[in-house]
Amino acid sequence: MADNAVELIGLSKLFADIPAVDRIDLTVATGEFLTLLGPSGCGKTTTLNMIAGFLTPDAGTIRLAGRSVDRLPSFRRDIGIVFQDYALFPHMSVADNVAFGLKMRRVAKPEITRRVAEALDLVHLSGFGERRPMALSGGQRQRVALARALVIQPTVLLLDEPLSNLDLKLREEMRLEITTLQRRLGITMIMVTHDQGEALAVSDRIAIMNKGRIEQLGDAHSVYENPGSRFVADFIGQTNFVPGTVREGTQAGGECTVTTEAGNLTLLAPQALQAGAKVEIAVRPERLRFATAADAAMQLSGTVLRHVYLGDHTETHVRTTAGSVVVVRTGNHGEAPLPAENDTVALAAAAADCRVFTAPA
Amino acid sequence: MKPWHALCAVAAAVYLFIFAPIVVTASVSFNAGNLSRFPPVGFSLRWWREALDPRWLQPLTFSLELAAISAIIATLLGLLLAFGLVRHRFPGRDLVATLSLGPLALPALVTGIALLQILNMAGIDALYGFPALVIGHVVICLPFTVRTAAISLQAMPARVEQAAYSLGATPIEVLLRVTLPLIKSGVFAGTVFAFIQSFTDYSVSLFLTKPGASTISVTILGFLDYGFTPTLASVAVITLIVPLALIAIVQHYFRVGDFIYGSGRHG
Repeated sequence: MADNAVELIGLSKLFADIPAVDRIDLTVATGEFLTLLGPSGCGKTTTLNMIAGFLTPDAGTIRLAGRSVDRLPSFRRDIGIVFQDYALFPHMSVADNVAFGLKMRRVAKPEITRRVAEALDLVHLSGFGERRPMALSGGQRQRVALARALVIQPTVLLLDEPLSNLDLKLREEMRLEITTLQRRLGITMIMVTHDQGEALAVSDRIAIMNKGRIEQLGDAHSVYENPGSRFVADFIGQTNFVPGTVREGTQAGGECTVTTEAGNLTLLAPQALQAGAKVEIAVRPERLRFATAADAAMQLSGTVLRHVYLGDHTETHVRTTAGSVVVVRTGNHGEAPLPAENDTVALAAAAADCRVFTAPA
Repeated sequence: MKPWHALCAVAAAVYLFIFAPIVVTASVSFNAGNLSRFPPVGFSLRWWREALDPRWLQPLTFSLELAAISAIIATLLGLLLAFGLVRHRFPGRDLVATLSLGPLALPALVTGIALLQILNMAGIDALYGFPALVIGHVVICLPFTVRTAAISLQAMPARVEQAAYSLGATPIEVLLRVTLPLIKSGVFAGTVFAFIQSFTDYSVSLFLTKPGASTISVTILGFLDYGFTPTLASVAVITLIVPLALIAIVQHYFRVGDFIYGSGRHG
């Protein structure tokens, strides 16, 4: 078996001369769960459609299991797809839906029967074989779609927003089920989603896409903790941006000093920064505390605007003295009550929790 | 009077106007005398015996064959056109769309005269009779078959064809196992419309028949010159029953009504 299930090399697609996917390079290891995450229009679905063979790239190469598939139509690519709207065949029974790919591969009848039963068992739908897709719930239909794609043992399973049509509880259930299946079968999966929670929960690696490019590629921990760009910091999770000016510049990876209303901060710079450049300091709401700590790198003062109580945590909106609004997230640990609205408060964050990015033009 | 009652009254009136003449015609065919009287005077089956004479059966079978062949050709052409119009963007697409629906807007009489002139100019008078009639009827049936096929294609669940491709089905397998089964009831509905359109047509047929190759409607109209005899009433009832029976059979086996009126099922 090839080490890499999927390789994209310089892949591009133009729509009306505008690049929807712009020279993407990406390698997905065999058995890996990779997620393409990004806002709508970022090129993630276009990328998936090119891998599936539904769209022809304008440039670049796609390799599946080490073999170029540029000249292969969809039906020769040995891929499985699960669509957001399931795309089950409404005129066939559940068992016939699952058997479809095997019939196309001219698998012998007894083996089809056996493998269909196995696949249905895998998704907990044994005994549903004779039903019509119409007679199933959304979650059950999604399981059928999954079984139908898995039964052919594809080189790669593509999942196109597979959970978006399900309600919250079911979505979390299916999410867990898909990861369990993926680990158990060791199948390579590429999922497209705009839901960052979903991406963080299931992926070995996440490719965050923006404007047809991959902005950052890494595991859930690294893209959340060490966003490589302002876009990623903003897109993944919630982030406060405090404006500032570089006092002492540096090379990429070096230390720079930034003047902000929260004082002078010395931070690692992910990219080269020149003295005088406008930057923004990013800090996660859960890393801001109500505290007056002399040793904290970032110290802000402001007025409490409002509390948003969300059960397990509370989001507090604070207008800083300089006028920007930051959000503080406080977990519900049954500790001291939060400051009242209109109270003047002090906020603090450690330098290790702050990131510096060039301010958007 | 509540709006609902008003609606019921209107519907009743409409059905009365549709069915009363049929009832009258049907009962006239049982007249014992030579005159078309209503209510019928006496009871006799002699006019029915006369209606089953080869002189009437010949144009009747001619019309049935013509309608069957025209409907099949129009269905196949309509499918091709619908695929082209729904699935592809090509120069002149709007023109093709308009042309394929054109005969619906045009008075059939105009279509008939136009076809007559073209056949004349092309010097292919030899086509008069069955071949010319098939051409004419395909033209007037096409709007029905194109529309029903196009609507079914558009209404197909999104991405099922892509799902089939991804599972290894070749284009022809996708067509035979997924696309056609899913649009089948719409396509059959189009065929039924086309059959009835052809079978009941008079205006186009009038120009394209020749002696010995005439449709039932043209034959009836020709016979009217001799006055409305009870025989005509019998023949009229027969020509009425044929398409009705066809609709009943097709509806029973293919549930074409689901396509026209919706299935009444949800989900």
